[in-house]
Amino acid sequence: MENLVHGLAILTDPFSLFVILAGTLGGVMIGALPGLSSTMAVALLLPFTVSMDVIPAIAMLSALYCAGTYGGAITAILINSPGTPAACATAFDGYPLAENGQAGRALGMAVWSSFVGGTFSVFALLLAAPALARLAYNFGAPEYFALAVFGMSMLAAISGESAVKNLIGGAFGLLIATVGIDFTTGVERFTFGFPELMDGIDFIPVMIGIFGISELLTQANVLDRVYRRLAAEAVKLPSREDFRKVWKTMARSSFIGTFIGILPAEGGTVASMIGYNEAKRWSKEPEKFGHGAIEGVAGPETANNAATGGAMVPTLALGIPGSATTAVIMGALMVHGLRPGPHLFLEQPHFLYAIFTAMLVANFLFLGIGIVGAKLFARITLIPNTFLWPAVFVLAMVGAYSLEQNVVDIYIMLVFGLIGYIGRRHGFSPAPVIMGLVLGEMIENTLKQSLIIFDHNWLRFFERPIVDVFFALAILGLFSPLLFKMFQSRK
Amino acid sequence: MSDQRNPSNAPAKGAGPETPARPRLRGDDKVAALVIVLSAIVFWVSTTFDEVPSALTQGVPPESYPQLLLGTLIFLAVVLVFESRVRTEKAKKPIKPIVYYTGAVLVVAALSINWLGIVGAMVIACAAIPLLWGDRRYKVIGVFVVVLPVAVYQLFHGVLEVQFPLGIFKDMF
Repeated sequence: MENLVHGLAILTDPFSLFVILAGTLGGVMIGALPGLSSTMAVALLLPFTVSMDVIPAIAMLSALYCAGTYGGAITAILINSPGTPAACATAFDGYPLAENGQAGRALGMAVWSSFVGGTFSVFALLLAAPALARLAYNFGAPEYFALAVFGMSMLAAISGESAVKNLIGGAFGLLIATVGIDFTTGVERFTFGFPELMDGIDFIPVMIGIFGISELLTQANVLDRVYRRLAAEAVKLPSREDFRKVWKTMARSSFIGTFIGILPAEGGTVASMIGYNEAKRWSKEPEKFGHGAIEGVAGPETANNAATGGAMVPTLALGIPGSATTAVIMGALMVHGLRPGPHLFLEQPHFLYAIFTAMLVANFLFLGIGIVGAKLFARITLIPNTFLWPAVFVLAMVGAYSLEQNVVDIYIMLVFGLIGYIGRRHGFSPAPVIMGLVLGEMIENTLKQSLIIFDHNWLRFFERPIVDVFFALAILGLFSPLLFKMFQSRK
Repeated sequence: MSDQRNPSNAPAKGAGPETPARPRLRGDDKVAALVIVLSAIVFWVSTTFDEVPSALTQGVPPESYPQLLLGTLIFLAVVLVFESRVRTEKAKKPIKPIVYYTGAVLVVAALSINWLGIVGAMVIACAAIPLLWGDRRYKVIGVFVVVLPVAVYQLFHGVLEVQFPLGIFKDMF
């Protein structure tokens, strides 16, 4: 109770409230801009938070995450171009509704669904995270290694062109994390004589490059794209009839989104697709889906926001990111000198409550902002790309430089921007690389510690039941795309 | 999606539907080959790490973990070749020259930092990208070129106390 009060104290601090409000406003605006995902926004704004205390910093990024996930729905509905990948499924029925002159109704349903899903998942975070952290508190190095392997294996199941490409991306991220001096022996690895690489490659320039610069280059290739903007009347509150129709969908998607979010690596995109499919499967009028079914907006929007709180559970309790954005938030925690996991969690529980409070407040704020200002935020898409993307580059350049105040980090950002762009063109998602980068040090250290404990006998991993469970789950995760296809084809 | 295209940016001759589609799975074969070749090169680099007495390595030499990852990458690349056979690959839009020009602007802006400082680099990016991308509202671009770099500089330097290289503009700020 005392910790809850400590956490809630964030509400009495004007600066913390200000950064939560700024994060929420920024999240809705950035989420509404096609091409600017909440992951990129968190990566770009991370340098702003470096000089803050850790709690307001993470509160701001968490608020940005929640609001950004909702913001994507605005443009999905009004211009049929999802502001974030997690809003793709929202466009399926949101845009047809807007075409039928019901943009306000669709926007109203999107904001309420996002609020319901987001709030549900924040309470799930509050309940599930401490339990998970307590469970993991006595984990040793082998268990952590197996858990991280399970987390990496789940990359196979995240959305993308190919499960194998996701795994290659993850392994590439792990390899980047080996650059620098090996802690055990003091030997330089892959530094090629550059002293700047001795401490390894920082997360921030890599994240900014791989999400921001690669997207900038992608946008340069689609400059001729013209969006047809539909007029939006004021956001309407969903009618009682609408709520009667969707409450079961909202409840189902809240559970689905939270559960998918809790799974390592899976985030809002997967959750929204499953939320949409399940809404259609359980609907009494499935034939209306794709033509403007209100459940088709409620299902994915509830699920993608429910995934935000869910994704925070493994990130904070286990130190295994639940999604691409939480991988960046985890990177932010590490920049602040904190290593998420059960020890941090159980030794500084007020930290969880502060994040819980920030996310809860962000959900209420974007509900208000969405009802009052969705029409206004939709106008943000009128910012010409010719000014938006140079501004992104300027922020990216300054952000990459700021942490270490080293120009080499700008070059690293550009190199990873190029790698990200080439990778995207060939079907590689940037998220697995970041997952690998964030988990790299932990995986290597726990593997080495385990091998020392086991006297270099790999088979002794299997003597530990928890390790066996995680390895079994990892195998399941690796083959989950195949299993899913088999399951789908049987239906 | 309402994706309308300007006539000026219509697909080039020969890129129309009458062109016979190239075998779709070749792209991933090339990707797999590239991953294997690069991994092999990096593997070789890992064999050049400094030697350490075995007592210091505690049985885990510094190259073993990267080599394990590189082996995994090569294995996954081989799996990719087979996986791509049962998957339809998405057709890619050709890269337009403007992407290369934009990339060149980014590189020039980044490389100019040591000479022109961060503000100069920001000015280059803010002026060159809109012009390159076809914006001809010179007055708006002029305001943008001045306001954004100065605002970002003041925010990061004045509020967040970041020290930037200023190059030839060091007397101005």
